[in-house]
Order: sequence, then structure tokens, then C-alpha cells
Amino acid sequence: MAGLARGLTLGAAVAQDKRPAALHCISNFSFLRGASHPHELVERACELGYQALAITDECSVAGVVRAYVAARDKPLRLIIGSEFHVPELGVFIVLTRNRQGYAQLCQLITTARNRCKKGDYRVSLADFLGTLPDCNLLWRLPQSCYELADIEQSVTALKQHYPSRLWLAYGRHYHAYDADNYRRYQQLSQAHYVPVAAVCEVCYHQPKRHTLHDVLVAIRQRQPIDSQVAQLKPNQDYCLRSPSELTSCYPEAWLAQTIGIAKQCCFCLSELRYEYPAELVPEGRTATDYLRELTYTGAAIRFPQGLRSDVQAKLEKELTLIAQLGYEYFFLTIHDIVQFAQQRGILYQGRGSAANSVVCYCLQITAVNPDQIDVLFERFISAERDEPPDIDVDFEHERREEVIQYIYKKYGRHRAALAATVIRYRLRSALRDVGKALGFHEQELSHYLRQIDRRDGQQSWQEQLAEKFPGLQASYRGRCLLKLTQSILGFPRHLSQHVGGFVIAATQLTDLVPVENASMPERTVIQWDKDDLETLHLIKVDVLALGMLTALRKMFALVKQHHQRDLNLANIVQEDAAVYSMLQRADSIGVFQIESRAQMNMLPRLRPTTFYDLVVQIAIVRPGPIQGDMVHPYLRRRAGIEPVTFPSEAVREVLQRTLGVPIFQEQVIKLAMVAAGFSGGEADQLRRAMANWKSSGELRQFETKLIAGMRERGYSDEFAQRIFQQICGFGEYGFPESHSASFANLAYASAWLKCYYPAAFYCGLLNSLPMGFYSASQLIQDAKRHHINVLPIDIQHSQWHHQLESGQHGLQLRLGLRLVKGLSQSVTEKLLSQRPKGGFQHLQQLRSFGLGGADLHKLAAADALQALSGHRHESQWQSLALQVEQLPLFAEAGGPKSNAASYDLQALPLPPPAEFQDVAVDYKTTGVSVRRHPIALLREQQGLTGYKLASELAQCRHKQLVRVAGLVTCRQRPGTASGVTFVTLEDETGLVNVVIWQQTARSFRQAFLTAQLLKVKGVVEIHGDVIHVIAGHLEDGTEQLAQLGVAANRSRDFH
Amino acid sequence: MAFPAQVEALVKQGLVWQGQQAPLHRSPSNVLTTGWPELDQRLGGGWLQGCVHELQLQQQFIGELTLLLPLLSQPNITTLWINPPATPYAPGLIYQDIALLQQVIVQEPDNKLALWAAEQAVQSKAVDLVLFWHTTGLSAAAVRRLQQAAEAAQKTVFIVTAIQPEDDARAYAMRLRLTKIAAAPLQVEVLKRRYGWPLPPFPCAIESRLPRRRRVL
Amino acid sequence: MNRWVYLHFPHLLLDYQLALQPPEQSRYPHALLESHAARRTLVQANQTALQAGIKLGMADVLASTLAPNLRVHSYSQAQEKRVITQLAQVIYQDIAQIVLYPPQGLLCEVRSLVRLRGGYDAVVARLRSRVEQWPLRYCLSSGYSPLVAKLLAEAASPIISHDREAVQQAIAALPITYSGLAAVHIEKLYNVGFTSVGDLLKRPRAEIGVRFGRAVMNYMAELSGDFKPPQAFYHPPDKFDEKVELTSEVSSWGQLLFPLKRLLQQAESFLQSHQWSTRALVIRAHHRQGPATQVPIQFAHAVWQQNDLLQLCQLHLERQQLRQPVLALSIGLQRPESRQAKSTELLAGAPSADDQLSALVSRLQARLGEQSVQSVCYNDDWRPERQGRIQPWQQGQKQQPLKQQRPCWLLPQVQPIDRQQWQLQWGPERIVSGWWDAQPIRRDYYIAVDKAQRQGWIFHSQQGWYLHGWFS
Repeated sequence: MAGLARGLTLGAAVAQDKRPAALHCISNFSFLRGASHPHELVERACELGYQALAITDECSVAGVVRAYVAARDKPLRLIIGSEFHVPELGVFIVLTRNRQGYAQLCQLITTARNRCKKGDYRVSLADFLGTLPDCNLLWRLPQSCYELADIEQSVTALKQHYPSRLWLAYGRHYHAYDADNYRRYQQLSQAHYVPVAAVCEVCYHQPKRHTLHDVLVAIRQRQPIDSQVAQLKPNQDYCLRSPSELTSCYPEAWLAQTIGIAKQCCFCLSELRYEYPAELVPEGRTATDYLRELTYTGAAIRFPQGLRSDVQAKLEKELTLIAQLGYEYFFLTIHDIVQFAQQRGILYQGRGSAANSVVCYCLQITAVNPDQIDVLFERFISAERDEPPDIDVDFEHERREEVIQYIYKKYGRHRAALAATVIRYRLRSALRDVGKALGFHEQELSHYLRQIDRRDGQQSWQEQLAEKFPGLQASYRGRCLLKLTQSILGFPRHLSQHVGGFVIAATQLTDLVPVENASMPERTVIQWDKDDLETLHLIKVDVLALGMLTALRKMFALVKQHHQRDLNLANIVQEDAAVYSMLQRADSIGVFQIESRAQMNMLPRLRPTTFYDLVVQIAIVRPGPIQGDMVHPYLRRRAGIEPVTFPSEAVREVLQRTLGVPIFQEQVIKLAMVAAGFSGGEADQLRRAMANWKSSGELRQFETKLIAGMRERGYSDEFAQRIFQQICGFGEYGFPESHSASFANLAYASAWLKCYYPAAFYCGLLNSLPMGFYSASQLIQDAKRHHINVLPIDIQHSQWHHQLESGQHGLQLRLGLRLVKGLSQSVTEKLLSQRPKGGFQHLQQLRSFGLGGADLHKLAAADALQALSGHRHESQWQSLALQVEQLPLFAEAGGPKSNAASYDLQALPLPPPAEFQDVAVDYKTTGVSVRRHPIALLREQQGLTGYKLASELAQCRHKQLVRVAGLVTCRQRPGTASGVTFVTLEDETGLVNVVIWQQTARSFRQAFLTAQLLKVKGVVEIHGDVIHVIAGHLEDGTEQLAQLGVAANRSRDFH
Repeated sequence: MAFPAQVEALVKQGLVWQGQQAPLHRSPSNVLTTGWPELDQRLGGGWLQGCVHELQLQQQFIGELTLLLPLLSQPNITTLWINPPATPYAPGLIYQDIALLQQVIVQEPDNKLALWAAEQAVQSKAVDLVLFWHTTGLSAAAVRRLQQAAEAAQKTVFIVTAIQPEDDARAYAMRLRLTKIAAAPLQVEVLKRRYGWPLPPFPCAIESRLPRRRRVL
Repeated sequence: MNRWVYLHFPHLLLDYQLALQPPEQSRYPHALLESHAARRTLVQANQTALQAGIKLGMADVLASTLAPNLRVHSYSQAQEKRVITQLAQVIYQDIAQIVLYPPQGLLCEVRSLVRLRGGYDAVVARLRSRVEQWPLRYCLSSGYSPLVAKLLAEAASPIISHDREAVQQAIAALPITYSGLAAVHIEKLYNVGFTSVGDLLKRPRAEIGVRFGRAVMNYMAELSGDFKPPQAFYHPPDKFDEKVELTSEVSSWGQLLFPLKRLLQQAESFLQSHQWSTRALVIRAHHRQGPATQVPIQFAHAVWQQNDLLQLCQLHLERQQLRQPVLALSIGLQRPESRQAKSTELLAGAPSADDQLSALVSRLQARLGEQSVQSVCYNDDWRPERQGRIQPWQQGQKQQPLKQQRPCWLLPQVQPIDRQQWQLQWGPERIVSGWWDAQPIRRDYYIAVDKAQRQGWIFHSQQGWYLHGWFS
């Protein structure tokens, strides 16, 4: 046997380095086939002392970048490859030798994937002939074929195309047929002079992971595991084996061949780094100086009164670092897109780490003036971290598609595509799939899932289940379920399309990464996600959508039309006292980011008076600061109750603006640098560890370093410990100051407009729905409370969108026909364009202008035809007569009158609807009603005697016993509050905030869960402007509404 | 030669056992090939249909089943196994191309009932072959009854027992003794056969149906 | 005179199922749910559930939060239809002309019985007493036309009187949503201000026809009784074979007593309506898989009362053993005979001989016992002792076997061996499998030769070396 091997080494140098190489490993990016993460395979290979590891997922390179990250600083060479199941010919394993080989592999994967719909591929022998000159091919014979004859021509064809690059991949996994297999490979190798390499098939990194591998097989077949045994592997040897085991299992020569192959594959993913689209830089110019020129022209515009010296210094520092790291193309790409948006008048706003740089401000990418917030350069780029800046740009959500089309047009579909997102197993899907595989019933599993409270921080889901279902823990199958569900969490299930992450290739996209079909027709997705692109320093641009930008543009247009003032984000008067006093009264419904219930409670306590207060307001009402209990100290210090102290001068400089309480991520990083002596890079690693502190234990080792550093610099242990607790409290919720600043910009702009041009504010918001926290009906209620006269939908006056009409005292809001559910926009707009000056004469005219019978009936039901055909019943009665199919039978059955007479009938008149009926049908057909509030109607019928109005609560005494009632518009149970639920009730005068303790909720469970009209008896608590009612007794008043016939729209529950 | 009328009637009823069956009215067609050439040649063509054969084993599991495998794996052969020494193993039978659906296994400790079952099988049209493991060996009367039933229904029966004393005469049509010495192939000794004298032991190479033997690892 | 009476059972299937269970069961909230397009809503609920605030049409998730110990089963229209037919059979003893409105309604023609029973109210009282034998919630209403009676009963606003005028007022006051019209019509009528059926009846029929089409025209005609749709009257079946579904699996004959009584009660009313008695019946217990357990019972003399039937059945059942839990119970009456004349009947012919092999097998089984005649079975499992087994005779071979080198003999029990006695020839073949049903194995199999050069199949596991099979 050995003689043969020696003869066939064909010049491959006999390797001195005896360390093994694994050439055929699939990760869990071969969906539902591989049972280990790429990094697990890499770490295990290093443990066992491998010299090389090939990640060869099935017709995919989706997992290789993760492996690359894991192997970056390890003594292991990562080989990039892929495996293909070729019908009748077994498995072809392709390993890339160099950069061209990698491009050829990506091209092959792309063609194979594009032949089928998502998740599938098809290949044949022909695809491998002549297409992979720079790759090695390992061929694992199919199990079934016995005679050598029928693979005769395939062998000769392959030998011809892969001179000295073709091997037979023999894998021994202790099966009954290993002996026959061994002889077969030997005969074929001797007959055709094709060398054999010892290549195990690796599906998981450790033996004990084989149970999860079996479950994956069952999940793929959607059958319980005991019915799939034939498909399962008979033992647990499809893993990485120790060198000693390999030498005892395979002939020495065949192992040497494997090492020889590994030596030939030297492609590394880092070679993809410097490949940027060239057309961004004009002919003959270098990227660096072109960027410098653009920056300084921008600076002239941004700082008309000239650059201050410190800003100038910061600008230079940024430009030199950008040049040093070679990131010019990132800024040029974004600058190009932002220019396009400016020309087309599309409102946009850059955020993310970019907002920390003066260069971006000068390039008009961000609108946050670096003076307003103290810019932390390390957060932007750090030489140590060597990571490209991630720059997200929000666009108006209705015009984002224009930007996307621009990108496709400029770079071409073959060079630009959307990045992928990896859809992974979360608890619900994991428990369900694993449960079904182990033979549990569907109902039983959903019962378990319902009992798990995912927001419960202390108890993991397994402990919760074990506690509530001891039987589960006791049974063997139950223990398997818990163990395997935990290990499958985070496994990728399939690739779907990222909402806005674009990748742009220098030349051909398919030279960079394979492209496959997405589920949506003619949409393609690349096999890498955002993190992969970031790791490889490829150009990645985030084009995101933001509803508020659309609303702001519409508001600016309305102000121009009705007040002849040219407003934009830049020229709004800053720091206007009236705006801040409005916000301090918690009158912030509709204002960006600070309209939620929790924000409205915080506004009167924080009392923002400056832009920076807004930046804090946006960041402080988040789980991070709440858990790290930074809210109360900050409020106490702001109200002057607690003295503002700083343990040292250095700390003062960092925390001065937030009164000594760390609120932003940047502050924590700076503290670590200033107080504990961390370097910029280390500090950022701390930030990264904070982002996923639950899963990785890295934060622990920072603790010792941090406290030691602080003790060194003379800070008390107590202070260091408190700072560390606050960092843990931050966890992933620590909000970056740069993000908060960008949002504060929009928040202030929308608040300013609400204060000075309320009519335009509400009209712009209503025309941009659905967005934000409130429904159209709640916005209209808020508008009426601000004395805006809201006119109903009227066929004679309304347009499709909501309009402003001038009335005696100021502008009035005319509701648009867009509110009528089910009405077709195109037909309606055509009709409105033909509306004569004095308006329509009668219904028949509408039909003659092309309005369909069904649309006519919808308008009648929405009471929009009052001018033509009287109250709602009359207009629907007449519209029914004008439906298309006039049955002749009834014409004469109705007596001599011709059908023409049937619509001006004198039959006994129909009774007009009662007011409460009108309100009910208003809600049903349009979702809003300008008539009186249902609660007002109920109060009028003495249904709510003894119940206070929302507006009357302000006059009550603190701790007074009151009764309030209203429509439930929102139920909220934030994870941080221990079991307390906040419910908002709406009546004709305003909103009531009700606090319901867990005990009260449980004792009035039915009313708490299902009531639409809730009647509450409780104690009112007043702290300054903040008013709450602590509920003692709940009663469901929905029956009374039912008699009224009003079904209020659904409340927004437990979101 | 013709017998007197009364004797002829008795023979027709099968009550007269004839010491020397004249070969003339037994056509050689009812011979079943054993699948092993050296055995066929010595047994005058193979196993005899309508006869009871005896296999005496020096020790169990020395290849007696492999000897019968070619016959068992014939396409539409239905076999009744009576009191097999261990469990007939489905994957093993499948590997030897034996149809599982056509095997019926009977475990019956009581000899009389086991014999009754064998006779039932022989008489029923459904079964073609009966393998009957009997540790101590059948009594002469039992063998004769079984021989007559097999002859009447033209069925083939095998009795697998331990080594029997030389002088015990039995009505078997054929008696073989199998022995295995060290690594040598299986030794078959024909003690009695219908068309010839007993033969000394000769090797029968049944390795093709057994796993490859390798020099010591 | 109002000719018709309509019986409506809003929670028929649930009430019937609870009737089959011991009374303390109905202390718990029970409900039936129907699921279409992943939305699971409650269609029937018992009294305790309704008191807990559960409403029909509510999602099952919300209901189970309102009443945590809610017991939910799935609704099946087919089962409810079988129950309504059984009910018709019971009422057939008093009312000759019955019309089935499956799954929850029964229409009875009562005018022809007024003279027989002496007065309208007497007829209704007799009907009520018959129905109240069963603990089912129902609503009974009279009407001058079938549709009117049906609408009033289903809207739970019944009128029980022979006076036509009273019924007409009731119908006029009926809310439009209970009019029985299609939803789209109801919405259109509601939109033009018609809130009650009376508003509709007031308008001239032509105007309605122009706006709402033919369907509403016919509806008004049927309502006023001008248009009489044909009614399909019920005729009792001539043989009795009824089945009862149990809500939960039952594992002993004792627990089956309750449903058995119900079935025998129906058997009695069947025999009574035909004036028959019976000499034999078969009780079948249906399991989750496999054939039902049959218990044929012969009676010495012909009987028809429920208690006689019950005693004899109990005698037989005590001796029976139930192999698997029971999901449903059914009873078939055999050889019913009219009570007066005695008739003899020949036994059915002998079963036809199908396959000779199974004939031989059944003969061997009869003599040697079922356990001793076995077949060789292959199933998909890597653990050798499960991959090949001999089991009591059963036809059929489902798996597609995998062809691998394996010994022809397998020892029923593995035998420990002394490794020195054996020379390894080939291996290992490693098998690590079976972790999912708590009997995992981890073995390395070898082909080896013993002292006598016999080729055996041995394996090494944590516990040591064992012999598992022979190659001879």
C-alpha cells in the first residue's frame, strides 16, 4: 500500500509539518446541516493542533467571514471553499488556491443558486469543467456506485481539466462498508493515477454535538426523530478528530496528501480589502486630496465666520487619520449619495459614529454641529480598532426608493446589492422545532411558550420552565428538550434581505461575494451580512427610512403655502423659550422621540430648557439609565435637591454637562480613559463588551482593570464600584450621545412647528401616517384640544390628502378622502380633478365622472356626501339605487314609474341616524370622528354620573379618592417596572394616566384585559404637573358603549 | 417388474416401504442444486425434492446455514424454521438476498408439537422448505412419518442435529456430517446418499458467502 | 294556529359530552374551539365558563388567561350532526313529523297532534318533558312558518303560544342582526337605518327588490309564510349502530359505564320505536391506532329494556381486559326480532380462504399459541438489537432496508466473552445512537474468529467485550 502512495505524490513536497488539516467542514451556515458555529470549528481545530481548516458550506460562503474573524490571531490557516452535491457523482469539494480561484468559486455558486428559487441550487459535471482553473477539487465518491465503469468518463474529463489539482476524498467513519470503500478508492486511484487524500466529513466540532445534528436532520424532514433514523449518522465520528486518531485511522500517505493540498490553498479574505469603486474620484486626482478639497469647501459653507482654531485642529487630525487608514472612499460614497438627496430636495440626516466627526459635518452628511455636543473622536475611528466608520443615513420614508434607484443606476445591479440579514433561531422558533423533532405535541409546546416571561431578567427561560413544569425536568425527553433548545439558539435558519444596508463592489459583485435569489421576485441578496462586510472593510452604506422626515417636509411645504415662510431644518430659530415651556407642560403628542407616555411623564420632571436638555431627555427614558438608576440622581441634582459633586477635576470635565451622572455611552468610555487610564482602543472594547455583556463574560475582566485603574488614580473604591454598576446597568441600552443629538435636532424642529404652526404640524403628521406613537383619531383629538377647528370629509371641499383652509379665526384642518377605508386613490383623484367650481349637483353626476358603484357607497357610508344627499341613511339609500345592475324584473314590479324616477322618490323619509350611531359608523368607515367624543355622549345620557373629567383632575387634592372613565388607548407594561401596568384613558377633555398594580390587575382580570371603556375608582397623585390615578377598583363599561353602538378602535396593547 | 395385484394396491396407498427405490420411475428432474459445485457432484445433482435430509454438526455455527443459503435465497422459496438455535437476523438475511416475508419461525419446546408443526407445513401448499433444529435427533418412526409426508407433498426437509451414533439407521434419504478443523474450510462427510455409497469427508469452500478472512492483524 | 315548533340547542355537542362524564366534571369551565386560518375561537362554553366572563367568538388565548383552568376540546360538526340525529330518534316517540336542521336545530309539526294530546299546551309540555330527559340547554319557540320559529328560537326570544298575532309582533321586534340574512345584506340594511326586521317588513317589497336584490325578496316572502319551502321529514333508521366520542382517553371498562348507559338508553328507544327486541349485540372500544376491541355478547332470551341490557353487558365486561386506552365507544344491535313472532336465521357462511400462508399460520397459532409463531422484521434503527427482531406474526414490511454486512444469527442476549479467546479480523464498525429514547448505546463492532475458527460478531463497549451474533 505504501509503495503506491509514494509513487503518486506527483511532486507535492512530502510535508515535514505533520500537523493535520481538515479539508471538508460544514458550519451551521449550511442551514439545518452543520451543527456548529464557524468559530467553534476554528477554536476546536486550534485546540487539536491542526495547521489548516477549510470551511466548505454547501454551495455557500456565508459562514467564512465569521471563521476568518475567529482565526485572525490564531496559528491556523483558514481555507475558503464550498461543497456541491452533484447528482450521481457524489460530493465535489472546491478549495480556493488564490484570489482568482475565490472569484471563480463565487461565480460558480452564483450560477448554481440562480437556477432555483431561494434556498436551493443545481449543479452538474459540466459546471466544473473549465470554470475553476485556480481551485483544487476533492471528489468524494457516491456511496451507491459500485462499478467503476459508469464514472469512467467523468474521471477522464476531470483529470483533463484539473491537472495535478484533483484528488479522491476518502473518509472513514467506522461503517460496515469501510473495507469495500477502501478497496474501491484504491482501484480507481491505481487505474487512473488520481491521488487519494484522507478527508473526514466534519458536520460538528465535538462528538457530543451529534445529538443536535440528529435533531437538525429531523427538523429538516419536519418529522419526529424516531421516524428518521435511517437518515441519521450511525455514530458521532463526523467531528474534528485528534491527530493520533487520524494516524491510526488512515494510511500515512493519504494523510500526507491532505497536508500537501492545504499547502497549496493560500487565499486569505484580507485580500478583498482595498477594492473600492473607482468612479468616485475624478481622473488624475488621488482620493485623499479630493476628499480634503470637498471638506474645506463644505467647511466654508458650514462655518461662514471661518474656522475656529480648535475646530481646524480637529479637522486636520481627522483627515490625516482617514488618509492613514485608507477610508477616503467611505466618505466619498456617502457624500455622493447625500449630494443627490440635496439636489432632489429629499430631507435626510446622517447618524451613527459619523455624527462624531467634523469632516461629516462639513460634507453636509450630518446636521449636528460638533460645538453643540463634545465630539468624541475615538468613537468615530480609532487606529487600534482598525474598523471602518459605520455611517447610517435616514431619508424620508416615502422617497427612500428614489435614493435606492439612484444607487442601482450609478453603480449598476451587477456591482451594488442589498446585504443579507441572517435570520436566526430565537426561543419561540427553537423550542417549537426541537419539541416537534422530539415528538412533543404542538399545543403542549405553545402552552409552555405562553408561560415564559421573556422580559424576566433574573430567571433564564429554562429555570422558569423547570419551576412551572417539574414533570418536564424529570422526564428524559424533557431534559433533552431544554438542553437542545438552548444549544440551537442563535443558529442561522436562512438568509433574508437587509432593509437598507448596501454593498458596493469595485468591479463585479460576484467576484467579491456570491449573489442568490431572495424570496421576493427579481430581488437578489448577497451571502454576507452587515457585520461580515464591516469585518472585511468593504463599502457598506445604510440607507434607512424615517417617517418624521417626511412629515417635516410636508409641514415646511404647508407653512410656505399658507404663511409664505421658507423654513428648513437649518434655519429654524434655536433655543426658543416658548417651545421649551410647551414641552415642560408635557404637551408633546406628535413631537419626534418624546411623545411616548414615559417621555410625557419625564418632561415635567426634567423641565428641558436647552438643546442639550433635549439630548439628555431622549437618552434618559431608556431601560439602560433606568436599570443603572441614574434617572433619580440626575433629576435630584437638576432640581438642586442634591449637590453636584465630582470626585476629581478630570471627572468633572467628562460629566459636567450631565451634572456628574453618566448617561451616554461616550461618557462611560471617556471615564474609563480619564479615570482608569484606559487607551482609546481599550475603552472602545469596553463599549463593545457593554453591548453584549449578558452573553460574553468579557465585562468581568474589565471590572478588575477598571477598579485597579481608578484606585491608582486616587478614586475611592465605592465610586469605582458605583461607576462599574452603572456600566453594567447600561448593557446594550446605553444610548450614544451622537444618536441622541441627531434625534434631538428633529425633536426640536417638530416641537417648534407644533408651537408656532400647529395647523401645519397636525396636517403634515396626518398626511404621513402610519408613523409615530399615535393614531389619526388621537392626533385629531389633540388638535381639537389645541383649538384647531377640524372640518369633516366633504365631497365638495376635501382633496385626497388633508388640507388647510382659512377660516374666521386662523387656519382650519379639512380632512382628506384618504381616511375613507378601501377607497381607491387613483379613481378618487380623477373625480376630484373634474369637480366644478361650485361643486357637484347630485350623485348621478359622480357616477358619470367615472366613480364606481362600490366607491360611491363607501363615500355615502363615510357621510362625505351630505351636501348632495342629506344624512347618512338617505345618501346610502340613494347610492344603493345607483348600483350598476338594474334588474329589469323590479322595474315594472315597482309599478308604472320608470327606473329614472326611482332615485327622486317621495316614499316615506328614512329616520336620520342618532348621534351616537353616526359616531360609531364614523369610526368604522374612517377610523376618526369629528363629532362629539363617545364618552361625552355617554356622560350626556347620565351613564357616567360621579365620574371626573380628565381636565378636572388638576384641581383635585393630592391623594384624593376619584372616579375616572375613558376609552382605553394604550396598555404598557415596561420590563423595568416590577409587574406594574400603565393604562391611558381618553375622554372628551384629554388623557388620564392610570397606574394598575399587579394585585389589582389580577383581582379585576376580565376588565383589565378586555375592557374598551374602563371605569376606574382610585387615588389621584399629583407631583407638580405630573398627574396619576392609582387604580383600586376596575369596572368594564364596554356594555354601555355597545348599547350606544360605538365600537371604539382597538387600543395599542403591551407593545 | 410388476407386483401381484394386492401388493400393487398397497404400494399405491404408500403403505409399503421399498428398500431399493428403482431409479427408473424417479426422474432426476426433482433434484435441487445446492449452489456448491463440489457438493452437487457428490450428491448426484443436489438436494432431493420430496426427501428429508439430515445434517449432523460437530459444533453449532460452523457454516451449516451458509451451506443452505443458496437454496434459501431462491426467489419464491417459503421456509419454515422450527426451533432455530438463535434469532434469524433480518439485516443479515437481507444481505444474503433472502425475502423476509417468506420466512416463518416457530419456537415449540414440545417435540411432538414441533413434529406436528413440521407435518402441517409440509402438507400445506404454502411452504416449500422446512428447517428443523433438533438437538437430540428424531426417532426412527418420526423420521419415517416425515419422509412419507415430504414424499407425498414433494417438499424438502432438513433436520439439523448433533453427531448421531454410527449404527442408528434412519429413513433419511441423505445424511451428511459437517466438521470444522482449525482454519481449514468446512469438511463434509456423506454418511448416506440415495444413489451411491457413503463418501469420506471432503472440503466444501463456502467462503464466498462469509466475510473475507484476513491474515492476523 | 301556529303550526310549527322549533328546538334550538346552542351548546349541543359540549352539553352532550359533559352528559357522558360524571357530574362533578361540569364544575370546571369547559369550552369547544374551532380553528380556521390559525385563528382559534371558542364556539361553545358551559355555564361555569360563561360565568368566568368567557364569551363565544373569543380567542382561546384570551379565554385561557381569563379562566386559567379552562378545559378546551376541538369542536367537530360531524359529531354534533350525529348527536342531533340521535335526539330526533328520541323525540320521534312523541312527534311524528320532525325536520332535521343540523347541526343544532329540530323543527316539529305540532298542529296535527293538538286533538290527540288535548290542546296546544299539552303537546308542548309533553315535548318538553321528553327533551328534558337529557341535560341539554335548549330554546323552544312556536311560529306560523318554519323560518319564523327558527329565528325566534335562535335569537333566544321565544314565543310559546298558538296565537299568530303574538308571533308576528315578536318577529317585527327582532333585531336585524338576528334576521338570518347574509352578513352583507344585514350591513347594508343597518346602514340605511333598518335596525329591526319590522323596519324591513314595513317597506314596499319592490323598493327593497331594486336596492337589495332577489335574495331579500324571497326572504320576506318566506317570512310572511307566502312561500313554503319543501321540508324533508325524518325517518328512523332500520338498524342501530351508534358511536360515542369521549373527550378524554379512558383506560378501564369501569370508567366506560357512563357512556355505555347513554348508548343503551338510545338502543332501548330504537327498539321501542320499532317494537323490536334483540338477542345479541357487539360492544366496540376504539383506540388511537390499530383495530377496535370487539366484545360480542349473546343473550339467552330476547330483551329490549335498558337495565336488562346493562346488567348483561356488565357481567361480560368485568372479565374483559383493555390493552390500550379507549377514545370512543360504539354499540351495534344484531339480529333484532319483532317481539311477537319468533324467527330463526341461518348463521352467515364460513370465512373465505384468502392466503394459504396466513391460513397455515392461523392453524399453527391456534394449536401452539399466538406467541410461538413469528416473523422476521427489519426496522430503521442503528442499534442492532432493534434493527432486526422476530415478533409475533404480522403481515407487511414498511421500511426500505439498507444492505450492510451483518451476521445471519443474532443472540437473543449478548454474551460476555474473554477477549484473548478471539482474534479480531475486521473492524471497528462504531455505532453510537439511540440517545433520544433514553437507551443510548456506544459500541465498536468487530468480525472475529474464536478458538474453533468460527466467525462471530463481537463488540466492545464501556462495560467490556460481548458476543452478539454468528456469521455461520
